[in-house]
Amino acid sequence: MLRSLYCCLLRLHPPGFRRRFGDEMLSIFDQASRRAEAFKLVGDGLFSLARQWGLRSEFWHGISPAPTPQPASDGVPSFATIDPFRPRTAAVVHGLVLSTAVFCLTCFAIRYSWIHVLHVRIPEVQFESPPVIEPGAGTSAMPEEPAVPRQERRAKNDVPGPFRAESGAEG
Amino acid sequence: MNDDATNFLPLSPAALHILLSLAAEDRHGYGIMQEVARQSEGKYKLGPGTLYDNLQRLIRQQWVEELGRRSGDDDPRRRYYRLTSIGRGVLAAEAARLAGVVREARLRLQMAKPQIPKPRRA
Repeated sequence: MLRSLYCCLLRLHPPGFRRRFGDEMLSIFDQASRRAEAFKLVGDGLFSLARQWGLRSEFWHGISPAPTPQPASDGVPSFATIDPFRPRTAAVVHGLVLSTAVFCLTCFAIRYSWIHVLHVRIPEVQFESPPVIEPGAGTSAMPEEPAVPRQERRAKNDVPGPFRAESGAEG
Repeated sequence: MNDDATNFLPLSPAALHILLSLAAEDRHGYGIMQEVARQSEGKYKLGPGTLYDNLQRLIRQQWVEELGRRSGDDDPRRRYYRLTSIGRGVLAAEAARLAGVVREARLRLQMAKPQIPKPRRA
């Protein structure tokens, strides 16, 4: 039980530290014979976890020897300003998937939420159905409608049903 | 070398004990812990978290180098560590500094006279 907990603590350490020292720390834990020692080591692991993530950011991705300033050929020392940083491919892919999922979830929540806080109206995508042509009727048989702009036609169709019926009865 | 080594002084107690434990021979992590406990007569005990946190800094500063695993060891997970020449110089500088501190402390303590409180008259 305590060993499993200690393994979990080791897995939570920064990758560089875990790869380099994880096996050895577990080996030391296995040397502990008494339960009190094991408890102490778990506490030590917790403290180490906080220290590595909080104070040792330079060792998160492994240990490399300290850079030594090398003098240039003209005698003036050259200094390294910024280390080249390149994120791992897996981290980029994970970030992309996570961003897409969060974006979709946010859009879904805004669209279908019962609490409309923002009063943002997301228009629905409408696909116009193609005109249905009856097999027996030719194009010449169809009565020609007066040329009405498409927007006016749509406005007419948006009128509620009962009102439309009354207006039809009046006409 | 000593001029450069003095820039890193004083060492933390953990770093000093780790360097000191590696001064005589190469050791693995558990061996370093045991040696530190033996040197301090059990008064200073290093946990693995503190040990490897200091080791990674010492390796980065090139005071300690990692030798890897040894085939004949009881536990194949153990890695051995060795003190480099830079680390040996830093340890020597720290030992000289501590020797100076001890000498000064002894001198001050010998010069100080014990004060006996005078009895008050009634």
